[in-house]
Amino acid sequence: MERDKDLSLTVETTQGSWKQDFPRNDKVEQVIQAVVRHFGFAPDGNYELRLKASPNEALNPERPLVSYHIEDGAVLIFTDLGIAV
Amino acid sequence: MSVDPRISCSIVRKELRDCEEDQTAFGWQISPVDDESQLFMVTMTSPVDGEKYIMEVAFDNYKEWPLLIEFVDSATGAKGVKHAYPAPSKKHGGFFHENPCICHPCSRKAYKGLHADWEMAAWQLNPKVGSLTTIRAILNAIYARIRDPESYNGRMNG
Repeated sequence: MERDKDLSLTVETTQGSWKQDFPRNDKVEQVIQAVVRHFGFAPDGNYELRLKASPNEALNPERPLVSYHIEDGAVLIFTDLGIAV
Repeated sequence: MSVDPRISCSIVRKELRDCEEDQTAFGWQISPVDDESQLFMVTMTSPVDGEKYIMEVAFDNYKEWPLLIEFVDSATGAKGVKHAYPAPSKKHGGFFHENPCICHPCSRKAYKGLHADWEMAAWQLNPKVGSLTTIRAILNAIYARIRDPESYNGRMNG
């Protein structure tokens, strides 16, 4: 069924862009961790995701993608906030 | 060992070109690079309250040394005063430190007093630096803190 299909998302980072499919019920945190692994960001870092179409709202890491009604093909912005020192 | 100023200028120009998309998307104003004094200015506006934050960025000896980022009071032009800085936030830790400075290995000012334990020449190898080793990444980390209504607390008091 269409509503169960994975979401194809593009994540833009300062290290480049990554197009990847994610289950709709994945939490935002799972996407963040996948991006961290893919680009080799520091595992103890502090990161956030935003929809490019709504860049002033950081996505809550605990919420599933589906709860934001993110559409297939959406572009997300990944920001490294810096490790707390 | 000091870096030839022409090399620092060249690196900074390249890294500023990498900021162009963000500059347009987020309304950052970035001045032309001053080759002689090795400075450029950045102005960002918080979408939360419309406050303008002005930064003077010195890049002498970049990238042997990290950038020297100093906030400038938009009303008085005073540099390095608390009121020029965004306030610290619980959500994002002490990135904006009441010293005042950006407390992170990417910020040269943090090495003066706050973190004598860090080696400035090895700033890019500091395990706490993460990906904040380019101007684009650093400016994004700053802007993320002043555009987030959940963490942004306005200007620092003082």
